[in-house]
Amino acid sequence: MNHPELPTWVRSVAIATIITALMLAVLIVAAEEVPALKDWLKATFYHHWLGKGALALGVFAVVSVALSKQRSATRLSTVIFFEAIAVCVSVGIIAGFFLLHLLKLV
Amino acid sequence: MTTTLAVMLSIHVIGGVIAIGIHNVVLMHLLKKTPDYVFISRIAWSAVALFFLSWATSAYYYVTYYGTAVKPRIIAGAAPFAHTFFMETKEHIFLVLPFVALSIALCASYLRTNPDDALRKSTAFLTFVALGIGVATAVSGMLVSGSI
Repeated sequence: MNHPELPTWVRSVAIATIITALMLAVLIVAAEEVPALKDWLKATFYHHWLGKGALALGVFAVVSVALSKQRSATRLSTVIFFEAIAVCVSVGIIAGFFLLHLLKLV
Repeated sequence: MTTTLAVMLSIHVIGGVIAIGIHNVVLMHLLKKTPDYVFISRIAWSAVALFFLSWATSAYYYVTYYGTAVKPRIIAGAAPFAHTFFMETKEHIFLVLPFVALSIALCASYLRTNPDDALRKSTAFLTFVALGIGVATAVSGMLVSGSI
């Protein structure tokens, strides 16, 4: 079983995950700091958490499909390494923000 | 709590814990010099399905029950940080996990026919990160449950 399109999908999904993870970190912090944004998420998606999930799914799907049409010379191992770093950064931003919030520093 | 909510919450917890356990197995196999990529890709795809199932069932519980019935009790209790830090962090970092799981599964499928030592190591690193997020999420869930 050898799909010629598989490496392209590995790369596009990895990049889509990077963009989605970083978008989520920005969206989550922004929604806590800008009440109007959280209200918009609630009004549009019934619940702010559902809104964040729906937007993440949308961004991930669009970027994955869009990039799957493109060829790249970047090594897959490099893309996956940076994906892991981006996910760590995203989780660090989210956890760090709520820790600062708990300590009443933001 | 209704029977439906109890079933949804159980599926969320059991599905999530099994998926985290699968990532642990995937990581252990990826650390071998010559892993069985057929086995790894099969279980990695199972983890993807379980994480999306866990996400969907948690959404039902979280949106229809947690905010009105559980959160106020935690906030008013002895450990409000269980919600303000652990639940807030858990519910948000979990959103990243299914996408990472999908990426791991695709890498494993690619490695079946294209063994690449550099990609094996990168995928192992990504799986280690996913495992860390999964364990942190599960431990946070336990703290939240234990705070009421």
